[in-house]
Amino acid sequence: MLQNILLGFAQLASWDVLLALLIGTAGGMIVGALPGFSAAMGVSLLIPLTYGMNGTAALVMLTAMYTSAIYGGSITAILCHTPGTPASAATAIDGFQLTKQGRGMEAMGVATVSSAIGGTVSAIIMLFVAPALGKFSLKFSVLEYFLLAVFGLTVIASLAGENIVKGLFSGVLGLLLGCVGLDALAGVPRMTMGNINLEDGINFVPALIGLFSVAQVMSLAYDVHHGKTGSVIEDEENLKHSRVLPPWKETKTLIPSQIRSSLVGTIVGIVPAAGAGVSSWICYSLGKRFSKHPEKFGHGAMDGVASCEAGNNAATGGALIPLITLGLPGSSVAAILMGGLMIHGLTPGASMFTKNAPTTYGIMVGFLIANILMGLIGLFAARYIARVSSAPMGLLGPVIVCLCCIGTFAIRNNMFDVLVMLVFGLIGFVLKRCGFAAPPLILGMVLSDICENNWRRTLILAGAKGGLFKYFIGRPIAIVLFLLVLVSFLSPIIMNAVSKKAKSSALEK
Amino acid sequence: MKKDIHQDVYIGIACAALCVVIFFMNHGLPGGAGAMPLLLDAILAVLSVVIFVGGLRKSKLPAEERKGEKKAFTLDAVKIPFIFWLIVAGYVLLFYVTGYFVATAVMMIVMMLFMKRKDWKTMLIIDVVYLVIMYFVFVRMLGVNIDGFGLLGRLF
Repeated sequence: MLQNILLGFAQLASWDVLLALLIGTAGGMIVGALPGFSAAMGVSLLIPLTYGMNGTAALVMLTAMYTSAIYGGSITAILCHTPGTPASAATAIDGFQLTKQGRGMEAMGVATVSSAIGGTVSAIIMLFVAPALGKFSLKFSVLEYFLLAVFGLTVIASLAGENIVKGLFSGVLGLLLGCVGLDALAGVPRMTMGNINLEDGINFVPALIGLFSVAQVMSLAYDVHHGKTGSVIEDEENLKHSRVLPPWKETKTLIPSQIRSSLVGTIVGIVPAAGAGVSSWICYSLGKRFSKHPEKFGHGAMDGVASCEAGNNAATGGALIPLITLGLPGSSVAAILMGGLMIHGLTPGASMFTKNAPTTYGIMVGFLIANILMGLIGLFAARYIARVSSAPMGLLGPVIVCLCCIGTFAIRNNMFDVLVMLVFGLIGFVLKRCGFAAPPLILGMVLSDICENNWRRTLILAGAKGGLFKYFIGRPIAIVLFLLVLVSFLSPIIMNAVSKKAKSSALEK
Repeated sequence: MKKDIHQDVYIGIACAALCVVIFFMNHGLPGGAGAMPLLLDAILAVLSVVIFVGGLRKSKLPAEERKGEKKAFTLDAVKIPFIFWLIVAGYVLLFYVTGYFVATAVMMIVMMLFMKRKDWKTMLIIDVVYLVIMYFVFVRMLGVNIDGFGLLGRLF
């Protein structure tokens, strides 16, 4: 174990990896600080840039971008009550109150340190838990991989947004789009409309750049034409003249909250579908419950900021554990990262800890360093990064569109990919307007191939071993996974019924 | 009194139409290749019906309960984003004629003007700096041959 961790550090000892780490961390903060730009958008825009890099440098850059974009979202949440990413929504409650009290930079400092602690703790847990889980996945066969993919699909309900039926529609449409191209077993073209470019399937990266970036800039164009053109920071003077951290007496009282939220956040992150957004709310509510001054929550509690920021960054490391070990993307960013892994020839699962072990440990150690680096950069540069959010959207939008085009072209030096991106931009915008969430579509596209191929191979294997039921009964891990699928599928329905009952009984009282 | 039909009714019909198209694309594929797409298509069809029925139910709700409802396709909501998308489509098509760099130099300014920017100096600086960075990062460092694309690109 220790030898492998040292091997991971050795992987980082090259200029390209260190530069990738720095760019990913700083870039993530900037993307996160821009309201309306999510971590998913930042990671998807970055993927084409990683094509020419080695696997370690590329994945270190992407995971660094992921964690620091979640942190970057707190900058605008605290300073202007506009969460840069959905994961920082809870931070905005107390963070902005502190800004109004003239303590905005101190809240920023607490958010920075808490995010770094949360991310670092989750990275350490990942270093120790992931290899064990990876070894366990050696026992998996095609049936278990099929059930894991189905388990991943049950996440759709929680990514669906306001309308579960439309979310499910998006997810199934994603599965269907994943079927486009030559059928892997029969070699028959499906839904290619005679276009030879589609025989390899719809390239995942142009599709997600279109869905997340182009569609978002189209929405920004609407905002700009409806008066939202200027800066979101109200009091820039506050950024220039104040201390970065509260006095030590106050800072030390936050340590229990930071540690508790880091541990809880990591566990929440491991659970598919929970993610950084859910984690920050859970940690905020736990922070309030354990606080000596719960009455301060909502009116400017440093504890509140520390709890949600440690929680949401811890969830990023947690989310990487099932992704690397089981190929289970629990969130939209994790699904995009899974695409990043595949592009660089890394298949999530046991092979990540056998033949690809040096790269995997390089990625995990890189993620650990990224969180520490994020804390250091944040403490020194947060006040300058905060000014990014004052960049007019009318200038940023066109630059992003041009970046999307060149980034997409760079994937295979192919203009067809740019057209795919353009079409998916329109699809993404139409879906958004009609109330269909885009993340389930991406999740469906990613899991489609794994799901279909493993299911068809399972049928062939089961046929040779006396039938599907007999084959299934003989595999205890598959039974456990099947039960997990059932629980995951039924839990939103049960929870919904329980909460309705609780609500109606409360109203009756 | 004229009933205001909920948008989900139209969305449900559009989704069902999509299902019909998908069915004809995958119907009769040999070697079991069509099984998965047809299964997924059937699920989509059921979900389309659920969306359609949900839309009908929402249409029957009293006007007070539908006050805060956002409409997906009012002209005001989609006009600007669609025009912007057409500009981006024009930009992409311009690649085929002028190549990436000339198309970007022109269309970035066009997009900024569309986004209501008027400060020419800033726009020109961003345009030039962007093109220089892209040239060095993508063409020189990453070896992407976008500079040779398009009619104009092939001349050089």
